[in-house]
Amino acid sequence: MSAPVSGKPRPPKQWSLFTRMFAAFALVTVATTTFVSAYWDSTLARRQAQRVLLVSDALRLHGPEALALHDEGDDEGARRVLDALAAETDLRMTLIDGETRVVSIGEVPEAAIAIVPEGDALTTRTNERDQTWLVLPSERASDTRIVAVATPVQRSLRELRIVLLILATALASFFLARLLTRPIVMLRKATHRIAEGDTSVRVGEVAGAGEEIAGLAADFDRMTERIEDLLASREALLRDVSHELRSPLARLQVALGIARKRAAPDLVPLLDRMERETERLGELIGLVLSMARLEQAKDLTAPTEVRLDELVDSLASDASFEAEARDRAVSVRKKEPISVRGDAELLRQAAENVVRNAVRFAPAGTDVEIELVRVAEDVELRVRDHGPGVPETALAEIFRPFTRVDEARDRASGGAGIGLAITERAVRLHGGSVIAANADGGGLRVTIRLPAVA
Amino acid sequence: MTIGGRILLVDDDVELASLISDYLGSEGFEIELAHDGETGLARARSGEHAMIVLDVMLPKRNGFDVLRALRETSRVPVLMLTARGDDVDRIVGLEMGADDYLGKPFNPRELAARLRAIQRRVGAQHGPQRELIEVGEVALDVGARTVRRAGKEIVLTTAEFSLLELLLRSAGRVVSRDTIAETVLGRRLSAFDRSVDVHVSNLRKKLDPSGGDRIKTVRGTGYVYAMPESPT
Repeated sequence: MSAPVSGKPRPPKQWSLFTRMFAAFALVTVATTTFVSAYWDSTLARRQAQRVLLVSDALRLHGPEALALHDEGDDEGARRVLDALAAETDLRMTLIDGETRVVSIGEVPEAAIAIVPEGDALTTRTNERDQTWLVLPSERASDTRIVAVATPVQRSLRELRIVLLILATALASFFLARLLTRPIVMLRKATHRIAEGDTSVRVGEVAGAGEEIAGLAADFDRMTERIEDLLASREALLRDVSHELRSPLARLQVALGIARKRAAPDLVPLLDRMERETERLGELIGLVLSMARLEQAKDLTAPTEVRLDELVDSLASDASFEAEARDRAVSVRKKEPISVRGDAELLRQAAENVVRNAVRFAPAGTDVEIELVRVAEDVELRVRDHGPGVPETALAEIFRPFTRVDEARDRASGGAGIGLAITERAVRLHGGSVIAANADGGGLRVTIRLPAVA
Repeated sequence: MTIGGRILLVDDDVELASLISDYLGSEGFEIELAHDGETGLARARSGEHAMIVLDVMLPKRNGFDVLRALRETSRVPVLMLTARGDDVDRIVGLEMGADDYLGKPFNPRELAARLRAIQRRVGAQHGPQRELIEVGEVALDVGARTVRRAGKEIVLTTAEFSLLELLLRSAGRVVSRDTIAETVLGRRLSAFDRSVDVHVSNLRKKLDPSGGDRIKTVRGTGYVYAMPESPT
């Protein structure tokens, strides 16, 4: 159905599933990272102390050997010992004899060298940057000592790394969320089309979406198939019933005619009434069958070029004839020479039903106004009455067969409400759409839009 | 009292056919019944009937089939009973040479009225007048009910003949669709009835297969038979 959805309050703005998934993934990842790094940082002091202890032990163990080798004049030997120690502990160190740095491995700041050891034991200091300085004096020469610098245990995260990690997380979350929501978006589009009236939609196989979504898609297709079947069988039932009703009704009408000929005069008004009602039934059956046939039609059989302006003219003159008898008028307000491709008879019927509907609801003494205008590539046929209009919520409903918009209104006009349903189907078959709207200043405006022939 | 010869009613609904027969009998018509297409066609070809009432939905051969076969040899007036709600059917019937149609279910009074209208047209045939109407190269013999164009006979149905007669009599003047309906079909045109237009279109094709338009449409009003440009 091509009528606009209106009048329903919109639900409050909701975050999309994608946004929520994306946010959830990103949040969890960032939170976990932050927590782990915070925990790591909290153990930093202990690990720092352990490290100092470790390097101190190593220095106490191997330092004296290097100092002894220096005393013996074997500086090369001392360097080898210290190199081995440095490789093991990551210490930067220097062996100092008085003012001379005999062996130097890495950068050792002057401030460290300036430390005066307490006695001949290993002295350690930790500065404000968490560096630990260690001084191991020689047991023999008081001026000779090893000064070492232990670099602090690294903090687990640095600012740049955090930013990079968050970016990577965001990117991964984005793709993950998209991967998960894509089949749902697909299902949603399909559902939307079904809601619009196209029950031929099938989702089919959903690749790489997991068992649950694939199952949902399969169930969805089964459900749609069932809806399609139900709709089709509903139409078929209406059609078959109408078809079957025709023969008995035809007999009834002829029998009534015979009864009339033989009836006493006081029965005649009653028989007139029965005749009128059977005629109404016959008309209704005809309309139902027209509609059913249209619904089944997939394509126009032999489309020709139809001059819509000529059609509108002849339609207006026919309708005026009927309307004037009831003190209403039909006038063509605007008109352009425009053609469409289609079935002239069907197009005529589609337009006629709209005009008739308008005439039916037009109050006495008013005009039904017809406009035929080109709108971009299309042509619009607008029919407006000055009647009571239709409640906003029921605007789309009037194109459904046998929909009662307003009990009182329908009863007063004897409307069975199938003409506009036929219009809608005929227009759809021509690749067009039909919309109803309440006009400014009251009354209903029905707009038929069809692709025009250039 | 019977009027205007026997009518053949071809309808497979036996009960309906006998009811119609009753009704029309009381209206003064004489009715013969046939219940399938083959029998119907055979009887129609016998030439014993003044008119044929032909249902579309028939066993063995459908109504269109029967009409097509019948039109090869006969110009007997045919009224088609089309299924209501089948708008295509009624047009197709007229295009194939039916004189009129009635959607089923119908009011029997309407059927009787249509049959009388057809009878009146055919009845004119037996009139004494020996009138010849000539416009341009088209000559219509009212008495013999023949039409010739440039000496060559054109076969028309009774409806088409009456239509042409009306248009030729008013050649050069506009004839409204309502007048045509009342004169030719014997009834008032209900709104949106395309019968007149279909008959006109059939007549145009028969008069001028090449497409030259002698009968012009006057939008919103009716039709006019164009006077030849240089009168002969």
